[in-house]
Amino acid sequence: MARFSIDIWGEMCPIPLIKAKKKLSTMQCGDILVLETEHSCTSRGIVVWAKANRYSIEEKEVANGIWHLELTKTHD
Amino acid sequence: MKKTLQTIIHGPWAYWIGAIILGLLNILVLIVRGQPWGVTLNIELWTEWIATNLGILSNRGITLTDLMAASGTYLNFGLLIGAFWATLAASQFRFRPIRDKKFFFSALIGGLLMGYGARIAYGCNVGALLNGIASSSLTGWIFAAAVFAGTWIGSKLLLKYLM
Repeated sequence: MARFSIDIWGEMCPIPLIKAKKKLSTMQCGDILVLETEHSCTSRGIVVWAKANRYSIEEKEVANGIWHLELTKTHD
Repeated sequence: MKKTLQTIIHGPWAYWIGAIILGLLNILVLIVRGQPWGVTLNIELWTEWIATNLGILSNRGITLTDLMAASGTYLNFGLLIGAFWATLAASQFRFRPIRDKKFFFSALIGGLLMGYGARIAYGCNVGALLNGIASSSLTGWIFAAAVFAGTWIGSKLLLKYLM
């Protein structure tokens, strides 16, 4: 149950998603990936992708126009 | 009910809802304007007017009055103002600094190529691609093929230089 994070601040789609996928492939089942972005479409894109791939994801808008994502690697 | 209202103002909207609304608005533009929605022709006219006034281009007789009477001007400004208003209404407005110089230059080069491509093709992906295909124009299909090829090359460049 380790927590990882990658820096995607200020990056545009699809770079954050590609980075997240790469990081996810090095993680164990049950690990959590923490992401923070200030682009609504980046946040949305990652949430849609995670749901389509049956990963559990929590999205929170922590301030105006800033999203905090916690993605749990529920399966390999 | 409160949650529905919250979603309408704040988003996110499902992609298919946005698509249907855009489709209906596009039909409305066609009915009211008598020609389909396009973005870049009007931008070209404004650019030409500015460049003429700076003495870079020879005068082809575009006046400010013409530009202010052109429906495209209002569609384009409406697009900007509408997007800005939607961001404000959702309270997601924020100055987003550029993370890296390479993003600045890639955006600049991309913008120039898109603008140039749109004008030699007589339309952008709204005017030439979507509305082209919608009106059974061959241009739209050729444009679509070129967009796929361009996107493929663009993705390769992105993975190589921007990751």
